[in-house]
Amino acid sequence: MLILTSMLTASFIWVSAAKLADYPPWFLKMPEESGVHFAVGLSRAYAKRDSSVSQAVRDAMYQLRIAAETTIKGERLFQMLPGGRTVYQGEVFLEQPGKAATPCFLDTVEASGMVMVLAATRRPDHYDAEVGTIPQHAPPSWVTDIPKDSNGVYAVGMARAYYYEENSWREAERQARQELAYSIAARQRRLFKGTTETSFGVTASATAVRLTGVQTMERWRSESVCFVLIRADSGATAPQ
Amino acid sequence: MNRSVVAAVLFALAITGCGGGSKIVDLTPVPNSEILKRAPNWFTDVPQDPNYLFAAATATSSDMQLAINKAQTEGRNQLAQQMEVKFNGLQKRFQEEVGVGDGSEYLDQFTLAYKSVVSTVLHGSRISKQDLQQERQIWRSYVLMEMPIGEANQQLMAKIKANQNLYTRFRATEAFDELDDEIDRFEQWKKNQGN
Repeated sequence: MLILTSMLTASFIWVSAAKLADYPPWFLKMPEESGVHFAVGLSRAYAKRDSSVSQAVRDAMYQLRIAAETTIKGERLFQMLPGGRTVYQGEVFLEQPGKAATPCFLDTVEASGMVMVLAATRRPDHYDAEVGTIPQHAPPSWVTDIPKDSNGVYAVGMARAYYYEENSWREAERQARQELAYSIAARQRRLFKGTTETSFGVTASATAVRLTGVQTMERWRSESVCFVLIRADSGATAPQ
Repeated sequence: MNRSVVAAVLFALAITGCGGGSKIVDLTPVPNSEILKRAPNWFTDVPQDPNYLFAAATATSSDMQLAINKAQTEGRNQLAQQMEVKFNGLQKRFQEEVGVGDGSEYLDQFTLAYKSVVSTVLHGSRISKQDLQQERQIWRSYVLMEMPIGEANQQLMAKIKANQNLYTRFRATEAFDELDDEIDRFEQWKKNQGN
């Protein structure tokens, strides 16, 4: 019985996919065009729609700044206790987006309790809001196998599906950007003490990177987890 | 006196009874055979590639994000350790060839060069594969980290070349041939990949 219960709980996150058809096609698979940055601004769907749209527009402008350039500095601390248990001891991350760009707003949709605004740095040459891929209920391959190519670096961010869903997507994107920064430059500092039988110590994992061309590529969600695939230009540098 | 003792015993029993519903969650459960069966293949059979270092790591937590972050950090720790082992071996061979007398200055310079590559920052340590599973009340994450060792080799060679005296001495050693061969293989691999 116990085994059956644990197998069921282990597999439910993949099996029970949410109603992905509710989302606009461009939210699940973002448009791509050379020389154009795209971003989605999110807001909770308030009773007054104007308020929601205004907030989503402001968020879209902020996300466009991040897409053009963002500097991430941060550190995570972990402690390893005798017996092998690793304990999280906190983290600090600072993210500084680049300069504001003049946005071009392409579409606004309300779904899943959110208002979503698609913005770009300029009007793309080829774009149709209705054209997109059919949402797949099985997890896409990038959820487990992170893509790789010579022109960019990729990372996947995840977050629990919160009641206010826009927070989940924002958190998943934030986690993905942090992982992008770590994948470009990670400073690992470790101090371990112990005997042959037991050891304990601390690990500090830090990063400091300026990312450019940070573009959300795809989104997918299961019943309980939101996943985001993002990409950045491979020519990231250390911040000044 | 007797009444107060009886009252104290009843109070203690009442408190103990109220706590009966709470359960302690084991955040670091020992993996049983079922958990091991569900582990991804790449976790138990880590890939091999001369141009990459690989590290497979797993972590558990009641918080999903922490389970992921712990596994990522553990994976990068393993990569850093592999880098140190690799370059420590190179340093040892260089030490054996230059000796400890007149060559100690070169050895210090070499150590400085490789430490600046190994001990500071891991470049290009990316998650190649990942998996996330829920086991009752805890999350278990698996990550496979990879890092191109060829780029670290190139960085080390560049640091050594920056010191002309050290480079002249290093060129005359077998340790140089070994590092140079690895860099050549990496360059060839990059050409084959179309980079």
